[in-house]
Amino acid sequence: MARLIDRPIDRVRTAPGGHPRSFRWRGKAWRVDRTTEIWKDSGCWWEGEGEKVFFRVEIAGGRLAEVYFDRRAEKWYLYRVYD
Amino acid sequence: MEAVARSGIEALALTDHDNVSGAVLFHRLASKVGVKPIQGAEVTLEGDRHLTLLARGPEGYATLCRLLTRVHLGSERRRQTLSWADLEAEVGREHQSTPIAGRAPHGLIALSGCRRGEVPALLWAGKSDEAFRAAARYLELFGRDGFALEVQRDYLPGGARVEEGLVRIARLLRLRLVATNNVHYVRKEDFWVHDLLTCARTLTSVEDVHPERRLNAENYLRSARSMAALFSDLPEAVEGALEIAEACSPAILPGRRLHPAFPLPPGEGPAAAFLRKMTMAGATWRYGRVTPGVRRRLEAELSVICGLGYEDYFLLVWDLCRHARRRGIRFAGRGSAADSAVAYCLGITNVDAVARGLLFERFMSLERGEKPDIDIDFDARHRDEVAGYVGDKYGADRVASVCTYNTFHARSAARDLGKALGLEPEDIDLLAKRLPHAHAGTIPQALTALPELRDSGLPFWKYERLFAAAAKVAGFPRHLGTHLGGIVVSRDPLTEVTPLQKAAKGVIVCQFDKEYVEDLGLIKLDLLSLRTLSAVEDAALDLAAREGFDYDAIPPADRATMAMIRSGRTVGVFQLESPAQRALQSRLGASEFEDLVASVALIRPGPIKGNMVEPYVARRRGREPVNYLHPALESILRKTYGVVLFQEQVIEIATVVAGFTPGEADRLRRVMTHHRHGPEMENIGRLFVEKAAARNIDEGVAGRIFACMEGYASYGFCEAHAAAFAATAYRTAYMVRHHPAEFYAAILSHQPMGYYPPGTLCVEAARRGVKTLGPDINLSRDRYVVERAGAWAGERAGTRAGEREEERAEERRGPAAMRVSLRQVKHLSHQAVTAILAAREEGGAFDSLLDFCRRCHPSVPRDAIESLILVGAFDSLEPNRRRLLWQLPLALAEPGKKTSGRGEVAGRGEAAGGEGVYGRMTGRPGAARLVEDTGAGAATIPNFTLEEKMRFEYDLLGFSPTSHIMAYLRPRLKAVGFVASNELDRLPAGRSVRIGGLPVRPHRPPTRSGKTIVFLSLEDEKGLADVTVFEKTYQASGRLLFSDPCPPLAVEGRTERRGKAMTVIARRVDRLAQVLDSR
Repeated sequence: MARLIDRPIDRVRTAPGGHPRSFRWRGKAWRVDRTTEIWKDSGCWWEGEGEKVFFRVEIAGGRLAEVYFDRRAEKWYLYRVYD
Repeated sequence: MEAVARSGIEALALTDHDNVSGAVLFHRLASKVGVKPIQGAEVTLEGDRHLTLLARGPEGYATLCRLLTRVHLGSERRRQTLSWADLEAEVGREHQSTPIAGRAPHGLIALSGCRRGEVPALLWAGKSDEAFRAAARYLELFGRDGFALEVQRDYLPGGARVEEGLVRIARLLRLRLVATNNVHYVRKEDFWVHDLLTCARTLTSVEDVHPERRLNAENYLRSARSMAALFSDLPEAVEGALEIAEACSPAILPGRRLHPAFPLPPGEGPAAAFLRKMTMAGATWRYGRVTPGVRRRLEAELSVICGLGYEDYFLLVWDLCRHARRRGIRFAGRGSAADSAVAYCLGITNVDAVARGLLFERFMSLERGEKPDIDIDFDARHRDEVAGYVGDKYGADRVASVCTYNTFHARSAARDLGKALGLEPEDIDLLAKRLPHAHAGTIPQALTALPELRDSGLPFWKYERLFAAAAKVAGFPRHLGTHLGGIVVSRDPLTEVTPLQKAAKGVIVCQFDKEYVEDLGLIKLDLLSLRTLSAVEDAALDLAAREGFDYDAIPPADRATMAMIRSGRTVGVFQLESPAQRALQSRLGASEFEDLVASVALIRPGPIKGNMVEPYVARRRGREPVNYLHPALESILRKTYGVVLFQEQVIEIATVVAGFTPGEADRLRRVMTHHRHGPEMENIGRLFVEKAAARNIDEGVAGRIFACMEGYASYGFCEAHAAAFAATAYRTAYMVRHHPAEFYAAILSHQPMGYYPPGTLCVEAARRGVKTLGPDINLSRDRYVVERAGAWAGERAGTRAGEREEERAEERRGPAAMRVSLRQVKHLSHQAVTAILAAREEGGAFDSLLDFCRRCHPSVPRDAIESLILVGAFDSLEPNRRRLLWQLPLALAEPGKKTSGRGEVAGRGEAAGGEGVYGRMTGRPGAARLVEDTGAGAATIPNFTLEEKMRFEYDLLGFSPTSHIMAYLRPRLKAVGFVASNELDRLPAGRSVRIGGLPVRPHRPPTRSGKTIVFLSLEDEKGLADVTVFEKTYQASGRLLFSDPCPPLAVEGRTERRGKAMTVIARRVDRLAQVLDSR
């Protein structure tokens, strides 16, 4: 079961390649164990949206989540969580 | 390709979807920058799966062309896919131990394709086993060396899963992995333009979701280093790509020649001997006695033609012209081929190159060695028949039309991209209609420079992205079209070098345009459609039947014809009818054929912009002395009064003065035509002066001669072409002068053609005493026909046979009139016209509307019948058009009954329902309720007023046979001081004047100053008044001049005499209605 979150996250630490290593959401720190996939989405460019780089990651406890980095806004977001 | 070379890429494959149109240009550009070109295509298989195919070399390219031909011709248009059976049929079993006997290897390497390839798509869908089986199937078909799995890292969701699957299958089947980059644009930041183009192609907007739109901007050109880094964890895939690049070689074979061999008659041969024989026979036909001079010229030409190996080509063209002649199809060779005496003797052209002293070297030379280009105009109705003859003779698989690459210009970019961006359709339509035919990158400049755009009220601030996108796609290919006349003929099946596909109207076209077919080794000839020849043929046949007229025996220097041309009254004359040409004729005082040749060459943007026209006219009229910079120039330039007007003259001057070889001289001609400025021009100028000095010509004089050529000849024209056109111009002028009824009727029957709309032609015909008769349901045919007094005074089809002869005698005597064709009536389809004529043929004349409906409906639908009523086609049966409209629903609903009385209009469906033509045009209730609603009875229904009739006629015919709108308004116009067009000539120059009329073709030719000058004609009931609008007035009134449709205009200005003609220099331009209403 996947839940759409699409909310900003902070305190994101990244690896040299730009992969997230950990992030904080709802006051709790989450460690990224592994990045399983990366994809990019150019979004609605005609509305001024920038490119988003998505990471599907395994977080503590074996849960899957998707986070993305909005290049234009230079912000990280938690996109989806798989229960 | 420069970006590719800069990126360190050594080999690149071009793999357009189901298309190799870019192959030749790709080959040229790649070779230029030192990149190996690999030709391929991404082929669409059944099930909409993609497969990348690369040609190992020319053999593989041929297989690819055959496969793509199956894609395009093997299935319905727009649903083009390749079946597995077709793929197997072409690719065969080359990799197996027993290849198919006599079959060349397929020469292809197949890659598993992008995300839409069968194997990756199955992997993405989680169907690993099916993906494995599919890969095994491709391996079986193409062999281990011929199939590889393609890995792309384009950052799409699910990409990791697909790649894992590909790597696994590659290991299981021992297949090669290949790292590829699916490039669709050079720079990442250009993704948005690609996305917009995808929307335009798929007829969607940016807000729509479509599987062909790409999710991200990762399909840009990556450098070799970037690719190596991207695949650093999968080095075997990079090695695989390099191995494939190594295994492939360029697909285009330089110097290949696929020219067809002419099938010689039994006992004849070789082709060169047969060509010589036919040429000499033709010389006797053309000249009677063949003089030594003519013989020498023909031998010299033949030695060049045969020396370059074009004897079969000339025989092919000779043969098709002979076929046309035998079939009575009118044609005329044009272009530089008319520089050839051989072409003249073979009956290909009608210009005597020997008598005119034309230079063959302009057409062909041993030194240049280029393929000759022969263009022939045919009667438009029969052009396809002639092309069909070539197809039958050489084989349908060896003949095809050349395609055209239609590219994005301002209008198409605004329409397509505006729609893709989701802009308001009405705004986009208004914008596109007002944009000039210009480069798509110039839209922002047009918005400020052109008043019709500037004052349009459109919200331009919303369109910034549209204009930026338009600039980006300027010149990009938009769609493939069919060249108007170009066909290629090949010795081998065309599919060896080009895929074939079906264009509009079912024409088979190759995927290359005229610029590229020659690189493939093909030879092209242009078989063009010319409606003027169709009109000539119709008029000539009518006249031949009536009075034994022979178009081909028109006297060569008819004084009345030349006088007419001199007067500038040349509406309808081929090539001499535009306002600029009409003005030139009266200034030039044209008195002989050579003046017409010069006229054709003079009125073009180049000479006008280069200010060549006035000096030429001054010398021709003796107002300026004719002198020559060197005595050697006199014989070359005498016929053009010392002015370098023709390209042939440039070549001759270079040869005579500087001793240039024919090849050097032609290079000079080309530099002057295409590279007027820059180092190439300077270099050849230095060479000219040096070589002239070596021949004892003073350096200063040589320099001045070159400067003179530079000044004039950069706009030079091919004399042979001008002479060929001038011949038709003179003859059509003769027709206008002596047989206006037949000729104008023929021109009107073949619209669209020429410069003027039908209404203007009718006015011009009327000025020559030829009346235009409105359409008549019993007299009109599928073309305009000439009726003589007596015939149009009331006789109807079905006259008793005994009366015919008397009628004909009267026809021969009486004044002529043109009866409007049924095809001129809006809403009347070809089928409807055919149905009417068939009914008339079968059952005689119609005696009532009811009779017509009974015999023609529903083949002639209600809209068409309403149109016929509104334009007066039933006037001879019932002059009250409104009453007929009222009766129509009943006639349609109950075709067996007579119509009478009121209140009977109860029918529904097509008979009575809907608004119909009348309802749509007037915004009033449909014809069915026209009277019912007002409570009137049939007997009291008033007819339409004259104004109403004219309005319907203008809308449905484009003009009004009942009365010209300006004639109707004349009393009011006269009262406020307007003059008619025919009064202008009687006024003194410099006089203030007011004139009104229907605007005809306002246009803005390029000017030397760069300022805008608009030329237009105003049509009134008496003829045309030419108007010139300079920049200041244009800026104030351009919105009116270039609106669509353009309303009747009122022009205030002053008269200016140009030769014998008078033009009006506009000071103010207004809507005519506004001017009249304000008074």
